[in-house]
Amino acid sequence: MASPELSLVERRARIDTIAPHIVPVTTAGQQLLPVVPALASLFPRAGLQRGTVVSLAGSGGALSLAFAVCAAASAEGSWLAVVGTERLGLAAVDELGVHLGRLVLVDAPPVDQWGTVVATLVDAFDLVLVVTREPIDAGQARRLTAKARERGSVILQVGRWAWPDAPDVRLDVIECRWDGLGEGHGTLTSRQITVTAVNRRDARPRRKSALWLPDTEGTVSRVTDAGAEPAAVTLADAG
Amino acid sequence: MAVTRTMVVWCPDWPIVAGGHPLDEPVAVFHANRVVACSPAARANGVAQGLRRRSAQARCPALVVVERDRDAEARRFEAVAAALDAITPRIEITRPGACAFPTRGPSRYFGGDASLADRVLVLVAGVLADTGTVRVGVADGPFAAGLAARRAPDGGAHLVVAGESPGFLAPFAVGVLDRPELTDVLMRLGLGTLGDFAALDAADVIGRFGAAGRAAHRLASGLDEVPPATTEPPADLEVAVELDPPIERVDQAAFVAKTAADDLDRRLGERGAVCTRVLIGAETEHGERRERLWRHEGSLTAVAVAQRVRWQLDGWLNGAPATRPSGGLSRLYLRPDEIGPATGRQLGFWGEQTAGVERAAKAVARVQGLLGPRAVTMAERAGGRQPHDQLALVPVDGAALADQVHALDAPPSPPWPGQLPSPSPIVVHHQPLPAQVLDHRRHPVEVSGRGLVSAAPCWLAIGAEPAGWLEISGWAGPWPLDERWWDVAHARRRARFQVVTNDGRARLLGLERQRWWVDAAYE
Repeated sequence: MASPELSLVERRARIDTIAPHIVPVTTAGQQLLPVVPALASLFPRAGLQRGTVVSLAGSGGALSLAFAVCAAASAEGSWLAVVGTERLGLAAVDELGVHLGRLVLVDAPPVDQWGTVVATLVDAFDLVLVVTREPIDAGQARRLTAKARERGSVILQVGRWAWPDAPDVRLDVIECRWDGLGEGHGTLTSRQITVTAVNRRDARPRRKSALWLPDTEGTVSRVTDAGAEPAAVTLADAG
Repeated sequence: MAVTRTMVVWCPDWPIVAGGHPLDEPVAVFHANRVVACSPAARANGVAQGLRRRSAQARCPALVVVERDRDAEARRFEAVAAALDAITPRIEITRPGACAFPTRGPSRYFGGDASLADRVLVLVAGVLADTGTVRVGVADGPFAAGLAARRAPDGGAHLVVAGESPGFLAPFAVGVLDRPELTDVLMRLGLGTLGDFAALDAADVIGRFGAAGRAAHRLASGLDEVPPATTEPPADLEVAVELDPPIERVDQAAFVAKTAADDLDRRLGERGAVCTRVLIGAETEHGERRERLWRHEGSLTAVAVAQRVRWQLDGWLNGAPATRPSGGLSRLYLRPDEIGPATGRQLGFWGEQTAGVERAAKAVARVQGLLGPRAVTMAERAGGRQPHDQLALVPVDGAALADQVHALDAPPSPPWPGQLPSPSPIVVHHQPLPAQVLDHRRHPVEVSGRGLVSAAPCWLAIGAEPAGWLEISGWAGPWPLDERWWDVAHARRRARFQVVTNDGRARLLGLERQRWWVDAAYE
């Protein structure tokens, strides 16, 4: 018990000496899965918070963005399960930086088994990417969210938002433009997308970011004013 | 206690035989893009275990490439084991393709090791019926007997006189111990043969190499790997699962196998024990009973036990009509037949994240139980020019999940000329979608035999009944692809285009025989 004679400053000093010893064992930093620096600004704590649900949708590039979000965590040892994309181009997933040795693909299960399959995966995988076309039953969705929170996994849902509750982080690709193709020449080299990020626990309005996905080097980077436009565009314009 | 005199029955090249391929044709069985087994004809052409598919095909162009099917290997081997049931009930399967049993009783009954071996050879040859060969080895202990079987001629036996196993083992290279890390050190120490290694003092070996070294030293000295236990394993280690309703299909069995194996692993773990031999048994709804022993060098992990249970049930349920149970299986039990102290497993010593692999393997097994084994796939590096050729999808083998992680750590294969430059499309249609491409005068765009476009493409419609027209804002091509022109059936000429439409999306189009297709999309 602090004696009443102590001044406020002295009490503060005491608290400061105790504080390092009583911090929780698990700090917030340990509950984050890493993301590449270019994507950090999309997430409130500059990383994927374990136990959350992320929704990705938009006019083109949402699937690539989803894998780009998973890439850093996958490279550092997290396992990634993908449900319901029979037509996945693995070479592109590889180029986005996902470790293919820790990637498991599951065929789209029949509707009545969907919940069980995804719950099993959420139990064991750090990252579970689901592509949905049908809305998900409310009770099932809540069970999955609860399971993800309990196990510390991240569910990424690609496609139209199909869950009854709002996602923790919602990323929408609102603009998508490819560079590198001209009239009969060039090849696709880079893509610029504009993403809006809305965070459920964040009072700030949506944040907008412009990204290269990929840039001419094949990596994800932020679009800066100083950043050089790809050479192929100038060529195309001239032609 | 003396070493158990053992007979090993070995069917060489079992993955080939089980696949139903004749041994006189060049056939190789692959797993994760590496040769795991090859027929004698392929071996004569320079194909060897561990080669990559492309190197193997380069050495032997006529090579027939087969994917490994471990379930079929185990299922077909059950017929061999069932034939030997007439000789002894103590058959233990080491792996599909090899089994062992103690010879003491049967050898006396049939009048000596030599006549027992002849009998076994006749029985197994009857089951194989010219599809494969068999070799038999008799020696003190399964390890020496296994090597004796390798020494035997095709369809013959090699007998090592009782008590002379250490001398028989001495000239073998240390590589036969199948412990790469240990053998590597031994070779560098100048200990090239089992005899050199066995001559070391046992205490020194334990001091330097620990428990794993001791086990290897015992093998090299012609002893059992672990000192035989003098007491029976306690009965409460048995795990039994009542199956209600009875199961008749192997996919239903897979999930039960996993649960039972996990349970067994947990119980053994509580006692600090490992299981080196497990009895897998099943009872049917008509009261029949089937049992089989499975042995493993080292110790059986939960995943390995589950895999063996699945194989065994598969062998019973899909076996020959004569041995197949008449009803569904109503009870499954696993009894550790031989246990030893757990000498400790060093997890993650070589940099793999074992906990993550094990959790993933469990989830994969469960999902495969729900959706079937082919529903869960992983990537495997292959070669090719089309987007879907470069990385193939293979069904996940839960037990081999860690191997698959490593297989993908290998550097990618050299570039294929004609491969598309990166970025690669993220959506690849295995069945390309039909499409129509028109020029500015609304005429179909064509490509001439010399690779020239009739006019610049302007409009794109996708699907058999397109919903609308997309305006093409940028395009490049045609990039001709002339594949397998030497093979009439598989030859294809395709012109490829990249196009960007005004909705901001990019697609990869293909033109073949005047028809347009959407091959892939850059979503």
